[in-house]
Amino acid sequence: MENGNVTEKIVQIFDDIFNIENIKINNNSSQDDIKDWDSIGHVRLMMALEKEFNINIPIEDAIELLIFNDIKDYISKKI
Amino acid sequence: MEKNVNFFYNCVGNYIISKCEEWSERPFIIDKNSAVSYTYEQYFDEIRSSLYYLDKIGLEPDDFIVIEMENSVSALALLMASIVRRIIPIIVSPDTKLNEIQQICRDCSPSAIFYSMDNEGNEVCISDIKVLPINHGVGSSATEINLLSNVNSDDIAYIIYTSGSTGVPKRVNISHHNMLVEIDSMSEAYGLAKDDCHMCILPLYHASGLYRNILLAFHVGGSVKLYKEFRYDTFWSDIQNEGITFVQIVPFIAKSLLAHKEFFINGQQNRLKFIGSASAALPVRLIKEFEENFGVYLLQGYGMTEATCGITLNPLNKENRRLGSVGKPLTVNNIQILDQDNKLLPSKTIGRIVVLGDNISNFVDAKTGNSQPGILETGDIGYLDEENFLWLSGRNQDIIKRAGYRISPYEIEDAILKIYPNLQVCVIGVQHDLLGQDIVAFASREEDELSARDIIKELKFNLASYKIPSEIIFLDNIPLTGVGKVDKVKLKELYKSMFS
Repeated sequence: MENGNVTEKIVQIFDDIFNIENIKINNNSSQDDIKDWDSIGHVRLMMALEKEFNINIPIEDAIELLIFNDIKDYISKKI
Repeated sequence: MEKNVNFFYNCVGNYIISKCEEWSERPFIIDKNSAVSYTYEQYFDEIRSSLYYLDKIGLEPDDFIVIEMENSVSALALLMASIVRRIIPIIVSPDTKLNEIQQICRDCSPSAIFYSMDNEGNEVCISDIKVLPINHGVGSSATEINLLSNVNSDDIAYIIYTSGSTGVPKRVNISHHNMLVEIDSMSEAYGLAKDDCHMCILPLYHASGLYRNILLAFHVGGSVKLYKEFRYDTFWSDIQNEGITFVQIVPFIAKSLLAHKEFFINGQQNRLKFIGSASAALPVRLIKEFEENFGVYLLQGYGMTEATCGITLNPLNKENRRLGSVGKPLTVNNIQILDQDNKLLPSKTIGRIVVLGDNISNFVDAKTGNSQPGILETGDIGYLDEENFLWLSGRNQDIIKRAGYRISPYEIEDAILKIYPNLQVCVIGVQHDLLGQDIVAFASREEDELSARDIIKELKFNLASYKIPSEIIFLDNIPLTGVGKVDKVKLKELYKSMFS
């Protein structure tokens, strides 16, 4: 899958899960920028990524994926 | 109502004033967000300036106000100031959505809404109701506070909404008497004293955080470190560095700490007496794993918002606890196990758990409109053993417990049906390793173009984020039982077969 497609899909998942209407997602977007991205939101985000990209994200990886760019790099390597 | 417990104060307002004066020089609370610390006297000044704020706005006794109860000293002082002024606060989460607040407004007609600073710039707007910040910046400690004499102990001290079983959040009126007897009874059970230091990481809009980690300290002159929220990466270092002796958690936090054991400092010297958990029964396996890994007693109790806060607690001495039980009733409570015909069952026989006591609120059943002061039908089933320890066996109702939140599936179904009235919808809780339970919605496939994504996108604007389902599964038909009710058992089996 092309990198642009991955980014687009992840942004779509963020849009599904969080209220990001007035927020522009960029590579540095983190829990500080997105109010709904709390602990439950993070679990839902990881589940949605696993489903969308058909991958398994172990918990030790999930706790590190707290910035948009890290998520993007991680998914790109996994698929 | 028969009073089982004697108490000195006629109302919570006088109790607050007396306690602030009694412990004046002692340290009370550190707001870890702003790093500002308050003695009881300084905290009393905060209450005074909140009183000035309330007076300046023109609020009067018996007015209702909504407080988006963030974890801050300002919010806590505003809550206590309103109770001192005999204004009735309605405590809500800062995450409460506009339509949920509108429903509360229809129910209680509040005069003002105080919004959390987290929502600044994005505050709710409702015509004819003043919308004001919690953090007022009004610095007057000169406001006179007089002890109240015209308060009936059965008057409402505050209101809280909890998930009901009918889709309509249940309004729970906590009286002054409920609050005072509950604090007294819980304090006796927990045995904490003025040298104890509490860590408050649970939200203050939950009775558990407010009572176990604020009021239990306030009652005896203890101190509190108030955190905005739980963080697994700093939890253990804070326990050690801040000299914490007691913290209340929820099962979600226990699981999260176990998933991040690397942050536990092996061999750490801490002052912890025990860690409390009460919002859902913890599996014995999890309790054992927690205690083995972290070397601390996980003190299990049981409580409900309708009982003000706590109902039972295990003995403080770990040797005397019964692993897997939620403990014995607090002194204020009696527990009865009843069968379907309301007959009292003998010990070790499973039945409906009914709680009696002066801490039971006078709530109104949304379905029947009835209220029965002092008696609470918990909706849980279980039994008492020969020594009066309570053992939970399950729930009669379908409340979903997701990451410590109690969520009514009916509320989510209603929210979906408001947007898509032609759908058939059923929401269930499913087991989840980290969250305890997760939320799954089943919907009938009425419109081909409609996707799960579309529904979730709409729900985001109508429900707090912790209530949003993780999955929406479309079916050609929602299975029904013989009497035409949705067959939830079949749906749970279906979900299991799809994802196991």
